[in-house]
Amino acid sequence: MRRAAALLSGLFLIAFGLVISLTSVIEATNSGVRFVLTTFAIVVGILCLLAAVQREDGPPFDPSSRLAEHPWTNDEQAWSIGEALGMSLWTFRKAGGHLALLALPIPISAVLASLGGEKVWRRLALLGSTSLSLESRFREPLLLVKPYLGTAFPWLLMTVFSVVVTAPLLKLCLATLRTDTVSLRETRSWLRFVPRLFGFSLVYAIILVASIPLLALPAVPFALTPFFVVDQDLPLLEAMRKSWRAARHDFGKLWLVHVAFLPLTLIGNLTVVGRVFTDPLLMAALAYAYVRASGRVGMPWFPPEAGSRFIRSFLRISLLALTALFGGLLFWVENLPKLRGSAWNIRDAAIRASAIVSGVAVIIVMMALVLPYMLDQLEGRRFTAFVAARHVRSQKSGFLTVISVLSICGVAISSCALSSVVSVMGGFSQDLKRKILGNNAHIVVDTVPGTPFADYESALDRIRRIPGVVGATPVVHGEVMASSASNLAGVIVTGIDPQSIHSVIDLAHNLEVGKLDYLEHPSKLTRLPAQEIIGIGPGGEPYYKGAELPGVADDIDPSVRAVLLPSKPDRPGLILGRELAKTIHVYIGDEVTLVSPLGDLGPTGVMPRTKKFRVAAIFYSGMYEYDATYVYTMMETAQEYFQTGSKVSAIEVKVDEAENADRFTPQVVAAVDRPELRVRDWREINKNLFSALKLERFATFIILSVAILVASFCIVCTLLLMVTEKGKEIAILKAIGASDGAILRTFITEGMIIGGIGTVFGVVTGLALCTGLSWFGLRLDPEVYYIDRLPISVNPGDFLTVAVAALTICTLSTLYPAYAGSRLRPVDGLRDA
Amino acid sequence: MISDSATPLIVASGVKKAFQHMGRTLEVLRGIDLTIYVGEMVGIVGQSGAGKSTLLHCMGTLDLVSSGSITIASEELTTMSGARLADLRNRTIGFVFQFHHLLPEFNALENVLMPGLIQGRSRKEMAPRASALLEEVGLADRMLHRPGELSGGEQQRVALARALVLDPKLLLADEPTGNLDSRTSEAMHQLFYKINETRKTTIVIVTHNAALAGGMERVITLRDGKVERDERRNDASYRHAGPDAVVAERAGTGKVDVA
Repeated sequence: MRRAAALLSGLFLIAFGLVISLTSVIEATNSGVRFVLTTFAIVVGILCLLAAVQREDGPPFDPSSRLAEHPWTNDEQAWSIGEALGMSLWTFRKAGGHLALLALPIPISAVLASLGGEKVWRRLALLGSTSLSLESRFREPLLLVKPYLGTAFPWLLMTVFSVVVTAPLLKLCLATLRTDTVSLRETRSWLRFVPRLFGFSLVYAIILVASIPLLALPAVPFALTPFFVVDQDLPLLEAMRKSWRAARHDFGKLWLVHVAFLPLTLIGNLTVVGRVFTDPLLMAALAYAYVRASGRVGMPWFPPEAGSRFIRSFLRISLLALTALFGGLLFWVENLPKLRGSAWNIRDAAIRASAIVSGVAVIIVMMALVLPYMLDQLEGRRFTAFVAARHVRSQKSGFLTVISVLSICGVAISSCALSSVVSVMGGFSQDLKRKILGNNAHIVVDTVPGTPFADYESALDRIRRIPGVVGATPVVHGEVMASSASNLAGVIVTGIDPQSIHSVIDLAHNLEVGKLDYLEHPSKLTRLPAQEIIGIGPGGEPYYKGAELPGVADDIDPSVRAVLLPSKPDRPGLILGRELAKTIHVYIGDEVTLVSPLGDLGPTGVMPRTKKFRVAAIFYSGMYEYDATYVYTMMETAQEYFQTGSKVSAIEVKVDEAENADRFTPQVVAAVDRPELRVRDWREINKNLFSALKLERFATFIILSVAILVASFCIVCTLLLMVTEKGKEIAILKAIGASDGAILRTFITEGMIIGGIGTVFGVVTGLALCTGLSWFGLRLDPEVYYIDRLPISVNPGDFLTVAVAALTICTLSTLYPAYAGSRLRPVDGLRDA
Repeated sequence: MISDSATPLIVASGVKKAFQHMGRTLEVLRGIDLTIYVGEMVGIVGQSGAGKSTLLHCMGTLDLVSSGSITIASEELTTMSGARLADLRNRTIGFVFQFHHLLPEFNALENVLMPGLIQGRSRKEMAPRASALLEEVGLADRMLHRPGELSGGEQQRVALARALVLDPKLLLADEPTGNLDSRTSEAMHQLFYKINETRKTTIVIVTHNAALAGGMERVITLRDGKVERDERRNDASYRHAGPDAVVAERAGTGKVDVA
């Protein structure tokens, strides 16, 4: 019944999430609220589904009964991470109300410290104003984190406040774990511990910060000190020494416990109020470690299944916390200024990065939760899959577990790297392609020497009638010098037909300032309105034209105006790129002179042909070469300037499928039907560039596949060790009738499970990472790369290729160990017991 | 009960087995001729190093003979392919070992249904039979325990249930009670007798245990890789009679020997 309910609600939630995301796709709105809602619905739905389908052996595990039936012993006992996490949750379930109430001063002191502390600090440092309101604090959540990250003074203040409640919190955790009672009214006895706990906080903070380069590993064994102080009333140094001695052996485990609590701690610290839950939880986990490791009070032995169940329930909670964190960050990212055009700052970058990281963490935790279910499914199948899945799960030998975890990590990291790099390379090539296709025609018809040709109209008509051709336009090219009042540059002038050009290239779309209209009616350029934007500054700020006569309204009588202002002569319009405009310092309406070396013969020799133009618009295509050299003008103007009469240099054609432009070339050739004209598609024109990119991508793929190959050696080692360790089991399996082939298949399956887990984790992480990067963007310095963000193309095909490659390599690497295992003779394994 | 007209299950003729050990050739079996009939319960005794276990392994196809031939149910083992041998072990032979040899990562029930899974049957199909067998050996409430959580006697009973799950014609046991205390051993012995009687399974047991060997209808004594004596008792009272000392003397030391 409960299963059915969980199944139904899970399906409903997932469907709900999908419907919402579908509607946003249809409506093409990208609202953060919707996305957060979708993510939440899907995550909770998956949790419900997992709860419905997960096979649990036996009734739910309740630590209470075990704690009640086991007498206290004073033996030092081993503990597992799963137990610590599970018992922490259990403690909170038992005494959560009291714990949360006791922990209430912690967030209060944090807020007070961040408010008052910063005020005092600012006054001390004579920084700016001290008028900080609580409201501004909640608008700027990062300020709340400042007491943890920033100055030491607010931190000290906060510690003084919160250390007062530490002693009763620790006592309550210990008492709950020991199914003991504790009186929380003995205020005086708590206060006794305050100086020692405060001293410890300082020392611990220093050790922690100092050991950050070592991942805080050396600090971890001291984490149990407060328990020794509170529980055994030891002096500080003695307690620290004892903590070190007790936790030295388990410090890897203690560190992992801290790492496991990281998402919860993070969300607690970010929301501040959340600390009333997260701080006692971590304390309870450490209390369990203390109770076990100190050997002062024994606890019942928990079966390994209990540990894995504990981990699962902890993962579920972490998943919810992480999703909340991700949602919050996403919301925040939505409110950030858009990437394009805005100046780079570290805070925005940090927020975007943490949104990506938390999103990836959600995916990873979700996969970790699904993993046991997948292994269950495998176990339910035939012999080989059953034995292989169970072997992968085996917790018997810690060393082997670490090794298989390491080999899974190896495969995961290398396949993640491979898929991300392939995506970035693909992104670069796609970006380039997009820019090239946006600024160039797909097919160009011109003469071999580049000389202009006449009678193009009929050919143009016939080309336009080819099915699949979107547009065709005649153009006139020429290379000249452009000079302004202050500078000059070599440019390529293209005479265009404004009516048909938009059907071939994205010029109108790329215009940053100005209008295509000004090109057709250049007289408007002489009378630009004052609020017209004539240029864009380096930080993205607009430059307005402003009033022509400062202090005088624009709508003065034309005759007065004519007297006050010398009339500007009409000039033909010119569209130029952002970089060129920057180089020759011109804005909309400014004059530019084009100078052609092919001039007329004058009395003193060849006179360069010059003509004055007015800047009608500035475009930004994203390709530096285009933005710095391309200049567009009206076709008639160009024809007149280059003295080509009614001839054109080329016909540019756009087709509906740019990828298959080469398929259209024969039709275009047939339509033109003039042997002296050649027809080339964009790929042919940019052949060198694309073949270089392709080669580069291929080389990267091969090199990173070698990384997977190296990681697969790890699988070989793991399996060889497993074969050696399981020699006896192989012998038993053979004795009860497993053939060599069955053993071979078992170990191959085992390796494939390890490789498969690694590949799926790696590729899905890579996918999440790349999707996150393409959504939130990674800013690049446009001055250096001429692109403002890292281009990433999330192409499912690439990820599939990586997954297939990784799985193939992993499967191949299992062959030798599996063969070695299958060749073991049963007697050898059975004899030495 | 057993007459000469009974069908032979195992026929060994001229079985020799030699090992290469550190450059020396070690002849363990030096020509063994033996016929074991369907439904018999045979004990193999002898001093350590007499080749008892090796003979059992050869009969169970776990080891290959150097020369000679063994047939089981009129199938010649020496010329069979590895895959067919595995299939024969799976369908025709059940093993019980001194050190139980259970799969540590699987619980009792899973251990018992493993031979069925190897055959390609599904868990669902095998589970009722496996749990019935576990109940029969008295482990109804231990089915979901891993071997590590079971006592020696319990583990051995799981191993017995596993050996019987596919109704083999032949049950081979190598010192099945060698690691158990006398009370647990006695319970185990009774199980073997019961199986032989109710299922008519042919059982061959290598043992040092005087009490077990004393209760068998046929006892084969090996010495230096040869059959020294092959005794058969038709007396119905043999199971509870027979001076232990005689058997102990025959079995070598009368003590448990782990070699």
